[in-house]
Amino acid sequence: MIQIRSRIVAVSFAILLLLPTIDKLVGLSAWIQSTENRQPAPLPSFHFPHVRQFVVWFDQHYKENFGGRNALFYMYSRLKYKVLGQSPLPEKVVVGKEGWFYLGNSYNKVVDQHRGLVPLSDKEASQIAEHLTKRQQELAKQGIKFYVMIAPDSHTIYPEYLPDHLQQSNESSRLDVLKRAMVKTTVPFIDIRDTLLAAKRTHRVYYQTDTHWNDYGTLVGCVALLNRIRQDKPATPSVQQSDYHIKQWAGINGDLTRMLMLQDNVDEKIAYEIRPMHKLTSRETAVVPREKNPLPSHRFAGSGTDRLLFIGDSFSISMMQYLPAYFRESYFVRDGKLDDEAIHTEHPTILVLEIVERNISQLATF
Amino acid sequence: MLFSSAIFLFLFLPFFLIIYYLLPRYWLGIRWTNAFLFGASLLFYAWGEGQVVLVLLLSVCINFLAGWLVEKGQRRTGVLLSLIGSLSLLFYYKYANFLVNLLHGLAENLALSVADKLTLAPIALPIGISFYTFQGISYTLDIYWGRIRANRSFLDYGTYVAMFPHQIAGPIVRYADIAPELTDRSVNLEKFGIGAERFIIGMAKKVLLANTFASVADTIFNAPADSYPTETAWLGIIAYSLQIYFDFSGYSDMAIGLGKMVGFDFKENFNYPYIARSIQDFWRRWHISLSSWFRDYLYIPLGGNRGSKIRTYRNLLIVFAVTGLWHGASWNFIVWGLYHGLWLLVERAGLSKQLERVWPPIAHVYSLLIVLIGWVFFRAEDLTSALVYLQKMVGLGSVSRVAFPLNYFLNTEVCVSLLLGIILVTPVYHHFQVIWNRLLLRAVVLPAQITLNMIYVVVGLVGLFVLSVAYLAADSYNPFIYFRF
Repeated sequence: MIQIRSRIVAVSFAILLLLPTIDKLVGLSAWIQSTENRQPAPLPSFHFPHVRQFVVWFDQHYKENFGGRNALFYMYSRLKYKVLGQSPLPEKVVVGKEGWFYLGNSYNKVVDQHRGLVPLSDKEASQIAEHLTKRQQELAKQGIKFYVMIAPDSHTIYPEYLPDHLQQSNESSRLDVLKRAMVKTTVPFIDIRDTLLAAKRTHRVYYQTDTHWNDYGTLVGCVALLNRIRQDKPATPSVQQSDYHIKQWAGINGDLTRMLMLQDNVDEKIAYEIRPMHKLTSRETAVVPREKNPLPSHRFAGSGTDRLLFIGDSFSISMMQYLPAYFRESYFVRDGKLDDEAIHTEHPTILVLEIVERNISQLATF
Repeated sequence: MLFSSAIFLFLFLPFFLIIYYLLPRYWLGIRWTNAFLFGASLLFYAWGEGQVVLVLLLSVCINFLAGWLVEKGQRRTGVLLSLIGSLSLLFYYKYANFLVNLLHGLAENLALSVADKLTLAPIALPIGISFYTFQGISYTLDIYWGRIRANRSFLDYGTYVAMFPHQIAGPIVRYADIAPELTDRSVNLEKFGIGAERFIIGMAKKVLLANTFASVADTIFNAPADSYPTETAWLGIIAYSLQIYFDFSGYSDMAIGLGKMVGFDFKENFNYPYIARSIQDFWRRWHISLSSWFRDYLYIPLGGNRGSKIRTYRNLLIVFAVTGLWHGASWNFIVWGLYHGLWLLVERAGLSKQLERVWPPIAHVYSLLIVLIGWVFFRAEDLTSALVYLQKMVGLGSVSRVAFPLNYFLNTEVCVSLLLGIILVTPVYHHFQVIWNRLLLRAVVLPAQITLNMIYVVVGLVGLFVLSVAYLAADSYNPFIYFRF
C-alpha cells in the first residue's frame, strides 16, 4: 500500500522538478505574461576570473526567469486575493474595502505616512519652505511665476476604504505641517485636498484600481490650479467644470491591479469620459525625447497668452488633457528637478511644479 | 544555495539526481557514486559561499588525518589535531570578532591605551561551519573511544562531511550512523518517493508556515518598543517560536528527505518539542542531533551526573553555556543557554518530580512558557532589547503611538497559519498517517487503493509543493507602476 504511494510520489516529484525546464523549452505557460514593468535579469556571460559575480547574476537571472514563474505568481495572486482576501504583494499594493486598492509602503512608506508614523518635523518643513522660496526668487528674476501644487494620495481622499488597521492618525499629516510652513512664504502653494473631498460627494475623483486620480479628479485639480493662476494672471481664460461634458462609464483596470496580475479579475467600476464644450482647444505639437530620462516631454499649443512650463510626476499625465487649452504654449516635463534647459528653450512665464503628497520631501531638492 | 530556492529545486537537484541515478553502480562501484556526490556537494557549497569551500575542505582534511593518526596509534596527537584544528577554524570564523569586541570594550572601560589596537575587521561566517566542525570532532573521538574504525578513503569521508543534504543546516550526522551506507547503499523508486514526500513536507513547513510567522515576528521584533502593546509582544514571541520550529524542523525534514533520495538514512532531529512536559523533555525532543552530541562528547566526558550534585550542576551549566554559544557569538545566546541550563538544574533539584505528578496540561504550559521566554533572548538583537521585550510581555513600558496593534497582523493567512502551526506542533500528522493507512487497508479493491493514494499525492503533496513554489515565485516578483528602465 505504502509502496504504491511512494512510487506515485516519486514519479510526481520527478515530473514537478523537470516541469519548469520543460516549460522553458516548450512554453507551456507562455500565455501568462509578467506585469512587472521591467526587464527581468538577463542571462549573464561568464568571464573568468569573475566567478563570484557570475554566480550572483545567474542566481538572480534564474530566480526571475525559471519556467512557469509567471504562471505560479498568477496562481499565487488569485489565491491570496480571492481565497484569503489579502494583497499578494502587501508592500506594493494594499487591498482595501469594496474593491479599492492603494499603493503600499514600498513607495516612500506611503501607508506609514498616512498613519502618521513618519511625521514631517517643523524643521524639515521650514527647510522645504526656504528652498522653494529661494527657487521662487530665482525664477522671478527671469520673469517666471512659480506655483507648487500637491496631488493628494488616494489614501487621503478615500481613507474610508482602507483596511481598519491602516486608518489615519488624528495628528497633523505631513502635508498639514508643510502647508503651515508654506503659509509663511509668498510661494503659491496649491493644496486641493478639500476641493477633492468636496467633489467626491458628487463624483468619484480617484480610481479604485489605480494609484492616480481619474479624469474627473484631474479636472477638479486643473480647475483649482487655473483659478489660482488667474488670481495673478487675469488674462488666463476662465474655467468652470460646467464647460465640460462629463459622461460616466465602467472603466478598465488600473496600475495597482496590473501589478498584482489581477487585471482580468478586477475592473474599475466608475470612470469618466470628459469632453470640453467650449471653443478652447489645444493640440500637441511635439514629443521631445530627453537625455538621461526615458520619459519624453510634451509640447502643446493652446489658446491663452502665457507660456506654461509644467514639471510634474505621473499625476500630470492626465492633466495634459485640460491645461494646455488655457495657455499659448505648454511644455510638460516628467521630473522632480528644476529643468534649466527647458527654461532656456521654452521661456515660460509660468512654472508649475506638481508633486504627489507622498513625495513632498523631494521638494527640498527641487 | 538554499533547498527552498528555484535554482536548487529546478536546476541543481533534477540534474544532480538524473546523473546520480544514471551512474552505472555495478560497473563503477560505489566510489564513483560517492565521488560524484562529493563533487556535487562541493559545487553546491561553493555556489553560495565561493572560496570559503576551502574552509570546509580544510576541516575535512584535518579530521580525516586526525582519524587516521588515532587509528595508527598516535591517539593523543590525532585527538589534539582534531580538537585544536577544527575548533580553531570554528573559533576564528565564528567567535574572533565577538572576543575582540569584548576585549575592546573591557579595555575602553578600564581606560587602557591598547583599546584602539583591539579591533578586527568583520569576518564572514562560513555557512554550516558549526555543523561540519562537530561532525569532524565526533568522528575522531568515536575512533579514539573505539566505537568506529577510521575510514581509509578520503573520498568516502569527504562525502560524509560535505554531502549537501545535511551540509548547511544539519542535522549533525554521525559517521557511525551512516558508515555502512557509504560503502553500500541502495537507491530505488520507493525510497526516492519516501524521501520526496519528506522533502515536500519540509519545504511546505519552511515556505508556507515558517516564512509567514517570520514576517510577523520580524516586524514586531524590529519595531520600536513603544510602538506596540502587550498583546502584540505576545503574538511576536508566539510567531517566533513557531517560526524557528517550522523553519528548523522543515529544513531537517528536507535534509532527511534528500538523504533518502540518495540512499542515506539520517536520524530524526525533532520530536514535537512543543508538547514537552518539562525542559528536560524539551531537550530530548529539540534539535536531537545537537543535544545528543553535547551529551556524548561534552557532558559525559565532563563526568555527566556520575559525581556529586554540585559537579552535575556544574557540568550542566557548562554544557548549556556552550550550547548557547554554539548557536551564535553573542551574549544573548549564552544567556539563552544558561537560562535553559538553570531550569534543568531546578528540575533536577526536584521540580521534575512535581511535574510528573501535576495535571499534564499544567506541565505543558510550564514548559511552553519557559521555552517561549527563552526564545526572547534568542531572537532579540541584544540583551537590552530582550529585557525591554520581556517587560512589554508583562505589560510594563510605555506606548507612545500604537503603530502595530494586534489586528495589524491578524489577517486570514496569519490566523490560518497560527491555527495550523499550533495544530502541527502536536503529533496530529502522525495520527493522520495512521488513520489514512488504516483506510487504505480497508480499501480491498486495487482501484480504490490507487484512488486514495492519488488523492493523498496529487491533492496533498503535489498541492503543497506547487503552493510552496508559488510562494517562492511571488518572492521574486517585483512589479513597478511604470516601466523600470
